[in-house]
Amino acid sequence: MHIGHDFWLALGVLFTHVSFLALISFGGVNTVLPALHHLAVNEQHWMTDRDFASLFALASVSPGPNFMVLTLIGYKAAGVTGAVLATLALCVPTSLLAFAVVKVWDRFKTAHWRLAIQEGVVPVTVGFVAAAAVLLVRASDNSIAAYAITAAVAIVGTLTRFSPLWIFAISAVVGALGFV
Amino acid sequence: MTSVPTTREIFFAFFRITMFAFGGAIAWVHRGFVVERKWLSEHEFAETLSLCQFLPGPNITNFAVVVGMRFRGVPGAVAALVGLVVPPTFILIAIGMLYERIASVAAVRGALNGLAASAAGLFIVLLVNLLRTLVRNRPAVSIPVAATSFALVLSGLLSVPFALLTLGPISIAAAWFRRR
Repeated sequence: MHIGHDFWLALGVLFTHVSFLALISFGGVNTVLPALHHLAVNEQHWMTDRDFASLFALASVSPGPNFMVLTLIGYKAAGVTGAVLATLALCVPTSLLAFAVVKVWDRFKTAHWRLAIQEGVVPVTVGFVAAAAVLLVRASDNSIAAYAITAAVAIVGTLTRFSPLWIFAISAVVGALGFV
Repeated sequence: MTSVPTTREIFFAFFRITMFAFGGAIAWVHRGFVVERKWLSEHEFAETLSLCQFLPGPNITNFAVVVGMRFRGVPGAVAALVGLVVPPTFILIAIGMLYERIASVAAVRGALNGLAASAAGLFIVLLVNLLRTLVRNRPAVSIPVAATSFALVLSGLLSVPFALLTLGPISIAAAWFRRR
């Protein structure tokens, strides 16, 4: 990669946006996924919609928590430096906050206002996760076969206790043979 | 009786979780920390989880910081976080490099399409679980709030931060008055 103005700009945008979104990600990184998608695909053009879907899938099947899709987004934006920076921007500010709050938690864990905040924020963020689900389906499914795979995993995962992991393996093979 | 792990044990516990946990690291934390090693009681686990869900950021990194702190102070928190995040960062950077090189190969492209379709399905499972929880708890308020935030963000009318800033206070106020 050519190291110039664009590179530093990408790093700056990555760090500020990711740490900000991490600090408002009540309920986890999935709740700010629509914003990350918008940033990476529509605003900064770091990747195509297809890339976003592929990287999200790779992060889901790789070791490490699923939020580490951010490491891959960082890599696509600004190489190894970007990957490390995005990971730090996600983990460090939120960890410092956790570090600070744990000391005073006992004082307000049963406070009326705290319970009201938690109860109030959850439905808003569930709406964000729903929007993320639509964005992911749009980005991932461009054929009847792809829709069928998504539906199969969704049905097996919600209605049965079987792990949908084996569908992942089958879908990768079926895809490699050119059917998806 | 619960016992207190060493910094080294904390590091390896989170390392093991991050490398082998597929689909929801928190369930693995419960198995490893409460059931197998007895480092946390059920009550302590539930209490810690509610703190981590209240805080922004990934539940699992918050969990690492909070239990690391409780067991061994700042070194414990750092050991937990490093064990959780650093090893998969290397793996994901390698995957990012590989992706850049071979994503254009037809068979790889196809396999990724299959995986992406599966990952979208798994995301729907997660969404359905969240919606089930909403339906159980005061759906008359929470479902319309979730539907509004979904529509606002998906249509692009509001970004995630602005939707949180506008809908959040309304939803929190509703919860506040309901709880009084």
